[in-house]
Parts: sequence; C-alpha cells; structure tokens
Amino acid sequence: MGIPVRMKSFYDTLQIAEKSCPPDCAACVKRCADIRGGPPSTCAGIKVVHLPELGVHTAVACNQCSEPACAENCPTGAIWKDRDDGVVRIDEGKCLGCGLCELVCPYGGIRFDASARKAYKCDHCGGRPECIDACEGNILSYLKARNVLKYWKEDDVSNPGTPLCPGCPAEGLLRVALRVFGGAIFFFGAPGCVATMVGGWGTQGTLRVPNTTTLMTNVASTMTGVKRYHRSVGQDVTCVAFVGDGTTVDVGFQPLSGAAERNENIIYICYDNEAYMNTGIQGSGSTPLHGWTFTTPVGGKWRGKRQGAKYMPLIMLHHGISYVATASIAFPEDYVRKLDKASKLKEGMSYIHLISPCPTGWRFPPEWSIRVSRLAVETNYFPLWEAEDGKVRMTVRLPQPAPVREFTALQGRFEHFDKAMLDALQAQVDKRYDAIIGLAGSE
Amino acid sequence: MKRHRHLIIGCGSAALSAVKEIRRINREDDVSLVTMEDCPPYSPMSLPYLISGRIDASGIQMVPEDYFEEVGATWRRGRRVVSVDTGARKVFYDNAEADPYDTLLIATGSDALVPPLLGEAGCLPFHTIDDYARIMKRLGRRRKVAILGAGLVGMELAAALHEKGHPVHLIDKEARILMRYFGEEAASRIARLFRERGIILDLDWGESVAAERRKGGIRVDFEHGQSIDTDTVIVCVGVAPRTSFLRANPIKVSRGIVVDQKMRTNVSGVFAAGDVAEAPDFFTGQEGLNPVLPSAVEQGRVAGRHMAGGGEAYEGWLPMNTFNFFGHKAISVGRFAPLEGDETITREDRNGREYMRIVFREGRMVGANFLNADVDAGVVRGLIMKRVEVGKYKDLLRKKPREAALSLMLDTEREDSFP
Repeated sequence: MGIPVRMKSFYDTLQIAEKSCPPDCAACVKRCADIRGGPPSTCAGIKVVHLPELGVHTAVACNQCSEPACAENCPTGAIWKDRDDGVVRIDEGKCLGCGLCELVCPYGGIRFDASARKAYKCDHCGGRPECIDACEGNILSYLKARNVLKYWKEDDVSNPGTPLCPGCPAEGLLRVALRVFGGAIFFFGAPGCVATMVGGWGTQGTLRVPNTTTLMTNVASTMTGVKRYHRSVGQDVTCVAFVGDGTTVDVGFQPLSGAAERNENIIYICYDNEAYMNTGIQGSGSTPLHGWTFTTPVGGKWRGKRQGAKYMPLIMLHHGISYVATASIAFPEDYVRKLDKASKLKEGMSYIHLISPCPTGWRFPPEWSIRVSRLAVETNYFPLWEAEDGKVRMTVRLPQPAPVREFTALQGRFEHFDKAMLDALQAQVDKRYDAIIGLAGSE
Repeated sequence: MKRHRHLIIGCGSAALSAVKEIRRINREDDVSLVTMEDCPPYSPMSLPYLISGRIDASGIQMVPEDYFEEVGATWRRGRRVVSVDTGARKVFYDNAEADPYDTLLIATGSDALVPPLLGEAGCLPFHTIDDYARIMKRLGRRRKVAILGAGLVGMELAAALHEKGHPVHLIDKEARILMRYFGEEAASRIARLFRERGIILDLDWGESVAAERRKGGIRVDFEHGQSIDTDTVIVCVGVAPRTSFLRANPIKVSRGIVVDQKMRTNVSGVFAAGDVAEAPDFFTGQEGLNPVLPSAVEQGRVAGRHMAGGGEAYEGWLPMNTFNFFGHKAISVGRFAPLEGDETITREDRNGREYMRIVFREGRMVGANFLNADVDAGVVRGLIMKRVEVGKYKDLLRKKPREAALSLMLDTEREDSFP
C-alpha cells in the first residue's frame, strides 16, 4: 500500500538512450545477474529486447515511478519508494512471493521468479549502477539530480496548482527559482502569464512569500525603492522579479535600464516567451524574425515579423551590471547554478534571461516544451552563457550545433517558412552567436 | 468553516487506497475508518502464505502501526456497522453509538460463502484472519484436509497445506478447475502439476447434499454419489459482498452495491469500492463484481478522488490474477476465453509445463492465459488497458512474447510523449 510521504522533486535517473544497442548484447543483464549471483533470465533488474525482425535492440529497467503500481498493490506493503533516493525497493522480509507486482507493472520493471518465490527489480546498486560500466554501446547513463538538489532550500514557498496553459515551462522555471531562493525574498511580478499564477484567480496564489504585482512600466523602479528602503533601515532583503518579455524588452524597459545603469542590488528574471502571450499572442520586441503572431501575421504582404528580436541579455551586459545569465529549463543544473550565483550577490544587479517556449503561442503540443527548450539551446537559437562583472563565459558549449531548422520545424509559428526565411533566421542566429563567442573567447 | 467528514467502513485495500487519495488531494478534511475486525489491516491474499509458514502474522500488516496518525486519519477497530441512515447521513454501530458523515465510502469487502448444511456440520471458511486461526487450531490435532472448491483460493490453500505436509483432498462440483481465470488447456496442465505433487484432485462431484459431524471428523455426501470422511473440511466456493447491514436501505444492491464510474451509489454522498462494489466492466461497461486486490486498489483510489473533489473516472475492471504453486507461475489477464470472431495465438511445450494463449479482438489484445510463459504479464495487461493495436507485432507475440510485448509498450510510450 505505499504511504503518502512527501517526495523530493526529482531523483537520480538510470537513463536508457533512444538508440540501438549492439545486436545480441546482454552485457548489462549479465553484470546485474553476476552481482546478484543468479541466472540472468530471472534475477536481473534490467532486461534487453532484441527483435532483429524489426531492427529493435534496446534495454528496459524499472522507471522508479513516483506512484509505483507495484507498491500500491503489494498486499503486505513490502514494496516502498525510498524518499531519500527515489528508488522503489522490496523489503524481502515482508515479501510474500505472490507475484502480484509483476502483474500490475505496465512497464516490465519488476520480475517475479516463481521457483525462488522472489521479486527482482533495479535498485540503482545503491547509487552507482554497475550496468553502466558494463554497457558496451553507451546506451546506459546515470543522471545525477544531486547536482541540482544541492542548491535546493528545504522550504518550498510555492503552493500546488497552476492556472497556466498545459505544458507551459514558466511554471517549472518559477518553482525552481523559488526552491533555490527559499523563503527569504520579496517577490515582484507584473501583468503577464505568470501574474495569474502569483496572484491566483481571486482564490489561492502560488507564493508564500511577500509579493506585489506592479504595472508593467515600473517593476525595476518599485524593486529599487523597496530594496533601498530596507537597506536604509538596516535590513538585508533579496528582491526578485519574475516577469515576461513584454515587460522587460518593451513596456518596462526604461526603469529597467535605469536600475541597470545604477547597478541596483536586485535580481531581475525575464521569462521570454517571445510575444504578449497573456493577452493573446501579439508580437513583442522579442518575437523572432519571420515569427508568426496575431500582430505579425502571415498572408498578403506579411511573412511574420519583419525585424529580428532585440537580444536583451547583451543589452543588459552592456549596461555594465554585475551578473548576466541566460538559462533554459532543459538544462536544470546550469539554471540552478546561475540562480545560486545571483542569490549570493550582495552588491550589484543580476539579470537572468530565460527561454520559455509557449505551447499556445508557438503552436506545439504541450508535452514538447522541454524538447523545444533543449533544441533552442542545441541549435544556438538561445545560447547558454553568463557574465560576471562583464566577463562572458559560455556555460554550455556544443561541439556541433544543430541547424535552426530542427528548432523551427517543431513549431506552428514557423510553419510558413521557406528556404529564404529559414536562411535569414539562421544567419541571425549565427551572427548573434558569433557576437557572444567573440566576447567569451575560445576558452 | 466546518470540516468535511469522510467516513469509511472497512479497512482493506480499497479503504486504504481511498484514504491515500483523499490525503493526496487535501490535508484538511476529516477522515475516519471503522472496521469490524479487531486487528491491523491485512489482505486476504496473505492468508495462504500464513498457512504455508512463509510469513508470520506480524508480516502481513499492510501499513505500519503509526500509519493512520501519520496521514491524519482516525481508525477504529472491532466496531461493526449495523445500519446506515442515508437521509440523516449517519452510520449506526453495534454498541448503539452513531457517527455522522458528509461522504461515506462502503468498502466492507466480502464474506466467504458457506452453504448452511456445511457450516452446521463444522466445515470452515477461509477468508479472514479469524478463519485462519480456527483452521490452524483444528489442524494442530488432525492432519487430513479436504478442500471444497478448486478456484484460486482453494488451489492456493491446497498448495500451502501440502507444503506443510498435510494430505490434501481437493474437490470441485464442476469438471474443471479455476473456471473464472483459466481456459481448459491451461487448467488441465495446472491440474496435472497438482496431481504430480500428490494432491488428490476430484472433479465433477456436483453439489454437496449432506454433511454431518463424526467422531471429531466430518462426512460430506455429494450430488453425483461420492462422499468423503475426513478430519477437516475447508470451504472455498467463493465470496459474496458484505452488504447485510444495508437491508431496508435505499442504497441499490444487486449482487453487490451498484456504482457508476465515479464509484458513486444511487444515493448522494455514498460511495462503494472493492469486493463489495458492483462496478463497470472494462470491456462492456456492465456492472459486475471483480473481487481481486488490484481492482480494490484502483476503485478505492477513484472513490477517494471523487469524495474529495473530482477528476478522472474509473476505466473499468479487468479480470486478472496470478497464481504460484510449487515453483510454477500461472497468470490470467482480461477476457481469456475467445468469443466468436476473436483470434488467438497459442504456444506450448511438449512436457506440459509451459502454455500461453493470447486472445485478440479487432487487432488488439483482450486477454491471455500464461503458464510458466516467458512474458511480462503486467506489460500485456497494460497494452490491453490502453487498447493498443498490435499491428506488426502479432506474429512476434507468439514467437518472442516477452520481447515483443516490451517493444510494443516502448513504442506506445514514445508515441504518447511525441505524437
């Protein structure tokens, strides 16, 4: 029956790459069975699938589900999810050997051996899965959430629930930021999608920290006032804004530019969905070249937006502020490290620019958000870098960036693209990337 | 604001699953459980393992001692419900006390069926921990056991008693064993494996027509002329929903308490789940009983969800069971018996130890019987529940059932994430 304990947000993961294993290879299965001292066909916690008839060669192991059916259906509660490492474990002393777990797991993650009356499953070898060492095809890897979790504060200051569209990554971006900053912040919002999350719909808001939603025009100046007042009475408070691209690059730009010029000690985070999404997809200064919105339409003389996007991170860098960074939810380790740096800055301003792919406005299925967030980086459309005191450093370097076509092809807002438009966008992406690399140097 | 009061009658798999779901939705509502049994929660599934000695009584507790405190629920044991007033929203107990509720979940499970003539002659049921204690007490003195009913419980019990060294005589009124879960081909193989072990298995004896106590033993006569004279008789002919406290009550009871896809009864605020509930079937949507643990867990979850707010409805129950005996593994999933127009694939070995049959309808799996087959039954079950078209995998499912099912599952998962 599993107890409803509060789990951590995420755990280390045994990842099985979506590419082909060497035909007939069963090195992982063999290693696992060797450790356990039994026959591979019954006791291994990983299985291989070889169907040369269909060209399928892969491996399957337990997903370590967050709500494991095996645990919920276990008649003696012998199966449980470990809160510390997220591994679903079997307490052999309580196991009846009934085999129900195998019947209720739809993923083939647990195996019941009737002759030994024992159930077997993957337990990550206590944090160092040996199958990975044995893997001959580089299919298996171990993703360590601890690299993210070490920046986590224990108190979660956000409430459950979201009024945002399905698949919107802004929710995750905000929650991660709140977990890294913890409860000791003043939060500033402005009209935009996330304002609905912060303020709620007249019912319950997301935040359990002091927060205010200003106009779009005066976020940075309001933060300045609050910060300076508290400093004048001897209180050290961290002021964090989490606002959209409309507020940042267009409507609220003047006070932001002023605050940056003065290098105020505030943290300003922009989640960039590249249009006025909350009001129904109108083009912003951040909408990309030839990108469709309702105000940069396609048809007649129009081919989407006529100009390229303002590149706000470099604009902020050239204000000479203390810290500038870009981040994507698809690179969480990179993101939390940058949040942590910003939170520790006791003098000077931090500006973090986030790519926030919008399923509704960019026209892609909600479940692709992370994929689009990742491709934005992998195509150099949205390079990941930071600058401490003006010194630029690439935080993710790609040996071989993918063409921007792989990013645009997933989105309806680029559906009208012909080769000329694609080439024009690619040229802009290259130019921008070269400019950043020029500042960062080859390293 | 007054706190919403959820009252749950019962403390088995369905009840615990409902508590967990309610608590997942909120921490504020008042949740209390009341159960007639005077012991920590356990599943009847554990009982054969107590008999065989694979586990002791302390090992069958489904949740730790402090569980209810941990989840913020009150739990009262040894308290029998005698009636429910759905108008006043009150439940009455055998000590004349009563509790009010806002939402009520009836998860009282089932009672073992014992024909009166057998009960009066001292034949024992096998469904609760008290039954287990009674059987053990009796077996201490007498070794020979007859089990009436070769369904899953009877067969499991027979195997467990055989493991403990008891001479076991297993009898069924029908000509076949495990009627509810296995077709003729699988069942006859299982029967053979039982007989090989020295268990006497007699079929087609018809109903029991007379029974009497005899010098500490029992004699039972059967419809087709046979009779037994033995030390102990255990009756495993099935279970029936525990609904007697609902006599003269507007809650609709057919064979069990009739519920819809939200586990709601016909009476506002009253839900039912688990063995006691007659819920919609996965294939037909017709209400029916499916007294197995995974159905109780799922129905409990759906009930809890709708008691505390709402959300997804119940997909319907799929018959399923797993049965281990003497190192063998027999599994039944879904509609294992082909109907007209269904296709099947079968696979068997020569020595009668392995058998597999998968039934298809309109290019999708609908059911299977497996005996010692190299396949992940849970994966097959998942593919049935998702109504996945097998397409190019059909032939491979016969040749390499395990790998084909896993690969089809992976394809389906991938399609779900990147349509």
